[in-house]
Amino acid sequence: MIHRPHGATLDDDPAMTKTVLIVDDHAGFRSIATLLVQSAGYDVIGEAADGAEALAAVEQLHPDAVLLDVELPDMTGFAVAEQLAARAYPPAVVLISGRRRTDFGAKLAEAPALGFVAKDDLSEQRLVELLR
Amino acid sequence: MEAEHAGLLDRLFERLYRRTRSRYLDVLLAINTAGVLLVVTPVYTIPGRVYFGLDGGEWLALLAASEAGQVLAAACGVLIMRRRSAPLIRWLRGAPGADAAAAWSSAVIDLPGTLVRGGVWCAVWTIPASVHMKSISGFSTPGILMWSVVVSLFIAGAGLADYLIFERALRPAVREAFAALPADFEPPKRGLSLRTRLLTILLLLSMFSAAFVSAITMNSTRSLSLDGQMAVTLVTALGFTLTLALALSLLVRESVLTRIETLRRAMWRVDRGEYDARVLPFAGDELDELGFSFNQMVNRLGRHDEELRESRARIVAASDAGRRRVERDLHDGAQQQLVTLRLQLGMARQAAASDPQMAALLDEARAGLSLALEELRDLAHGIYPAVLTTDGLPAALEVAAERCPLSVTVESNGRGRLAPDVEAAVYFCCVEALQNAAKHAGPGAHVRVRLESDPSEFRFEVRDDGVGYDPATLGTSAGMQNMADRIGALGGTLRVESAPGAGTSVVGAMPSDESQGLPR
Repeated sequence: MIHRPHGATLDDDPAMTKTVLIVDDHAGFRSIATLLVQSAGYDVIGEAADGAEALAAVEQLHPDAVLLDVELPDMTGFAVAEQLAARAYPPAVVLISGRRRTDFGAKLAEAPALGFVAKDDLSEQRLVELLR
Repeated sequence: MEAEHAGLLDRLFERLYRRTRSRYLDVLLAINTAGVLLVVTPVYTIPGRVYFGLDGGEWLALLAASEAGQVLAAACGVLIMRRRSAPLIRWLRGAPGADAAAAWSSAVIDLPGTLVRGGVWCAVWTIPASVHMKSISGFSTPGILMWSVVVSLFIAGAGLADYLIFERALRPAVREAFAALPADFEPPKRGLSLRTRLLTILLLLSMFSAAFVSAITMNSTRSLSLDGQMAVTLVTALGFTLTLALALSLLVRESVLTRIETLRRAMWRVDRGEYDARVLPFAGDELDELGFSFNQMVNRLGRHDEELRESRARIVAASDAGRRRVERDLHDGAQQQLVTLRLQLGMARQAAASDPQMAALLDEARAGLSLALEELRDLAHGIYPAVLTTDGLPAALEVAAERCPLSVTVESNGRGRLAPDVEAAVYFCCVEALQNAAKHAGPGAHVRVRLESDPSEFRFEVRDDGVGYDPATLGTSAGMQNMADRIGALGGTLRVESAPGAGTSVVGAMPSDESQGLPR
């Protein structure tokens, strides 16, 4: 079910620290996710609270990976992922949600993303596994 | 029941009915028999004396024969009528197991029918009676034929009047039985039709007129020979009768029967929910007043039905919107807080790795929080599953199937999404059916959920091969009744079929249009 977006993998240049953009409309979650991502050894280069901000941030910051909430106030994470996948150098996308995997049915399998993590299962280990 | 105009006769019979309810039919038969004897005796015997000049022994012989025949016929009549009205008698006596429907049919169909047949038999027996008259009196054939016609006409007229009175006398019992009829009662179509009643009256009227015309013609053609008199009388009477009968039956057919039939058809259409049914008023009479009332009533009924349908659909939509909002609030509020809290506890757990006691406490807190989160998700899913909104009906039912303890397969010939309210109604209905199957179908049962869509209709079915049940004894569960209401509010239908040992099926259908299909 894991779809790698066409384009570069994160392992292209192992010498560089991988950069991550965190997209979620809950500020409390963004703070704790930032700590988790950093302790997993990645560099958090930005945060976004909705889909439009996320697209603008990717345009500006060119992150290696995006931690993307499925439900955003202005559009779905699936739609954001589609737009990111259409870029010339698409970032790796990890979808996250407070809901269960089964709540999204087939959409999750079809989304151009590395994988899906339930927010409460988010851990350094899980992040490393996915972004390796 | 509708209040009807009660005449003197109705009030009399009503009073009699209230006083003699359990014996009412016997009382009626006694009065009827006495009345018949009282009317028929002079009809048979007076013409013998007046027209044929019978007197002395001959007249007494006629009287005795007539009375003996009548008493015999009346006794047979009473026995036959009591037998035909057995369900009504049992019901009036309050016998155990007495059935209002059988009593109604007995009073409205069987008893009057027997009365008519009895009248016809009496009229037929006038023929041997007249042959007997001829043998004892030595009268001419035309004379005795005239006597037969006159007697038959009187008997037929009196029989019709008796029939109408008897029908009215039975009305208090009919009214009471009618109030106790089951809602789905279908009347047997064997009653004396309005057409037959009217045609009988017309026929009698024509025959009376013919007899009258014959008498006048015979009288005014005395100058002719007997053969000439008979020929002129026959032609005049026949011509008069046929013209009168034709004119009257055309009048009755066009101005009454056809229009009642039109009204009946329109009512039948309204009964099927076709509220565009109207009758055309064209004569400005009482039947047109009825037609106008009918049209106005259907207009109102259609409007109320439409309002009711819209109101039910709005209630269902509001309920769905409320469920979605609560689910969303739970997700955005408590659930997000708990998720963040659990992540924070995770980080605290990492930081406390060197303190085993603290680590154990934090592990315990995280496990408790996970449990609370799962329960909250289950609650939110039960209120309104997010997958139904995001991915549609089959996907949501797949999730429901996974949560069902029985083995469930979901099949769909889908081509797209349905309206949200339809998806929600069908989803909750199928989930209710799955829960019922899990509770009652028995272990090892398999459930098949099928969704089918075509341009005119969307159908769904939840069928299990479990133990089944007898719907007549167990009825419909409150949950399934709610689902039927929900489906009905959107113009759909739902039925539950089951039999002991034959599993249970919940089958529903929703109206659909070309643009609607099924979710992929």
